[in-house]
Amino acid sequence: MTNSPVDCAVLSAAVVASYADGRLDAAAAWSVEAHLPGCPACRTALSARVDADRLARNRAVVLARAGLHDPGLAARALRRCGVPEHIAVLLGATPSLRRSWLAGLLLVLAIVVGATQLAASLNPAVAQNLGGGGQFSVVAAAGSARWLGLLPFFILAPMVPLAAVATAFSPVLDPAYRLTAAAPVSKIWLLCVRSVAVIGASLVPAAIAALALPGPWWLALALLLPALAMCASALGLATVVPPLAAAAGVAAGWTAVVTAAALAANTASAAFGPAGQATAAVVLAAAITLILVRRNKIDYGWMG
Amino acid sequence: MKALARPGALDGSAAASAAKERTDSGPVLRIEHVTRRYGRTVALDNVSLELGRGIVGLLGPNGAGKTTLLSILATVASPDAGRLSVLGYDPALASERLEIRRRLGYLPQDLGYHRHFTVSAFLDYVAILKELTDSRIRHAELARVLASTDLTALAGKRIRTLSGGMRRRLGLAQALLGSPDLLVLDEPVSGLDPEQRLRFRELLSQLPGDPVVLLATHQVEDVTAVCSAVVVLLAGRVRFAGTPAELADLASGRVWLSPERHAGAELSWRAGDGRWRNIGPLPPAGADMVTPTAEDGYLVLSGAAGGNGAHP
Amino acid sequence: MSQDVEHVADSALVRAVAAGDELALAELYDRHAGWLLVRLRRRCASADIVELALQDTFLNLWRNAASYRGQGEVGAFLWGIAIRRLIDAVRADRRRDRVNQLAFRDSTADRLMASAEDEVLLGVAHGQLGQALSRLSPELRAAIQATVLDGLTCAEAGRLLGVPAGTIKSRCHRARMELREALT
Repeated sequence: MTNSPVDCAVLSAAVVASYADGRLDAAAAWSVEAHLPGCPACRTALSARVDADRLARNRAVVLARAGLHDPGLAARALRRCGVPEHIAVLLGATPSLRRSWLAGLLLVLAIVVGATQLAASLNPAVAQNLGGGGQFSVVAAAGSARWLGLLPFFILAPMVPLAAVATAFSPVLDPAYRLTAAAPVSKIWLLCVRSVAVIGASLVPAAIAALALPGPWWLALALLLPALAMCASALGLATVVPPLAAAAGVAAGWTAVVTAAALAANTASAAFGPAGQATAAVVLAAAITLILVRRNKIDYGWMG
Repeated sequence: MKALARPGALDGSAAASAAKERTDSGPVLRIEHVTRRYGRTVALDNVSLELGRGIVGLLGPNGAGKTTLLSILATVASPDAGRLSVLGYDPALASERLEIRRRLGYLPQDLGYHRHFTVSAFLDYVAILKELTDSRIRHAELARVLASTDLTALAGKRIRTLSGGMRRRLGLAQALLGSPDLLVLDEPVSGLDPEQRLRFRELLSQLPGDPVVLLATHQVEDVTAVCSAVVVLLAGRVRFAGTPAELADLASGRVWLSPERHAGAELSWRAGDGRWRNIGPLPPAGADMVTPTAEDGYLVLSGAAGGNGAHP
Repeated sequence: MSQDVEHVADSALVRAVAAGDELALAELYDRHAGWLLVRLRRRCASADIVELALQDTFLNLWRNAASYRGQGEVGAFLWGIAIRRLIDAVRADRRRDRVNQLAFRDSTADRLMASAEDEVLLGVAHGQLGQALSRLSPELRAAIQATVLDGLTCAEAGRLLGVPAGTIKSRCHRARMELREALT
């Protein structure tokens, strides 16, 4: 590999050998070490005395690790919070946590919020009524068309985490899903970790968007239970029907419920009232039960 | 590497007592009356098999049920009926299924990759799925499989920049993580050119630790090149299980050469040296008989060459 | 990257690494990993920690090669990375609540004094200094070595040796005083 080392003018081979074996006293070793960085010949001689297998083994690991990705901003933040490295890597492979997906999400939310703000500004009476008294009702100032502007947001916002979770588990969208199925990793554990990460990542932008809406501040919080209920239902139903079908079914059902409640009570946020929250809690509990009951199916034969 | 492959029904008591057997001398894989349907299609029809150590080829045309069988053995899919014993464990029981998965390496057909991932990053991800949570152990394992599959130089390359042959090596590399006792490879060399197939065969013959390898393919030459045993699957049923030589024997007395295409042959084609190779149940008297190859046997079996497809 | 890497200078290799050349990284490893390993080994008794520090050194180089701007020898640059990675590895290990395996190896038991001839070769100036250094107590010598030879700050030296930075400071001070006394 390299030329045979030329003897260094400063250090003899014997001294280098003694240093390598740890047999030099401190002062002499110190001198050797001060000399080394500037002398290729001595470095080569020293390397020759190190176990070649050890060097080769570590070389292979260095090159393998060099091929890994740079940990991104999110991964570093997770590590700082004490999340173990292997979990950070696992989450990095989840499709919905990729930047492009989140960017698209932010864009959609921005558009919905922008449109709603525009509608409110065009009709000051609506904005006034929205700000009033901690009540759920949005009184339509003139004609029902005004509050309909808010309806798309209430339909879409809780679906955001649903879409995120669906993409995290769909065999169609997770390229290596069969490897996941055949691997020893617990599918339920993977489900939990990914769901928490994905719901958190997508609920935060959705909640910020909700705060940006004209309306009472707790509207953002009211999104949480329905969102969780929808995600859990989709996952639970996915043990019975194909995952994408389950997600689509839950999304359609949610749209129908929100629209029907809004039409019945004449307010866009009707589905988020106390009755709505209670229903969401019940649905969430039922869905979690379903997942637990069907956990064997999730672990074996879900994807095949 | 001795391989043992027998089809056929199994005596219930023998199966029960052998279910927990994990010695080298017994069968490593046991499949009893397994059936699997997809909708109205019967992918596997009452399949029973015993397989031992070595490289076993699973031969059959597309749609024969190979992928279904391998998915079931890899604990990805569950059978509708029947029982299994994989490495002595029963996949229907959660704790034993975990033990199978800890000893398993699986390369599915058409494995999808996270295309923006680098080679190392993908292997790192799969290694974590295989419970290698300690980063020191995991990275050492990464280095080892990269070296085994000659991918060290490509460690930092994005998967979307890799050729087909390189991706197959990557697929094998991820299957090798954790030094599995059972390797399930679904059509690992289909679509590869001859040189790449050769490299792959070399890799297979150099696997450390003597694992059981199940290799599905629709091409006979892959089987004759590396397999010590072969199972032929046709339309969801096992039609043959034995050595490649025994497969060739199915066509004994049925293969001959002639200067021109022979009218009485079921199958006749012009071989490379200009003469015609014929396969049929009734060779003419005085015909130039040749020793049949495994491919001839397979053709007889699949009914393409006048055989009735039944196991003799 | 040409085939003939052996004749390429270290600094050119580092520039190549900064541009993403893995072959250059491998060549730098082949040239420097050996002596780095020996030198690290003299500061930490655990082979595992030392190997991890060695790997981390080259990975750090892989990611941050652009920070080398030709200041001094590449070898010294690499040592600066290596000793700090050793500190990190030792701290991480301590945090894992394992028995502290760090021990500055300076065994008095099995030691060959450098021959007189070698002392001459090492430089006459070292003769007196060498004796004075040998007469220092191990902790004082370790403190001076870490700060002067390895170029660490008092805080970093403290992390390496497992003592507070203030202790390092006072030990260095005492060491310098003793050396001055011995040499005058």
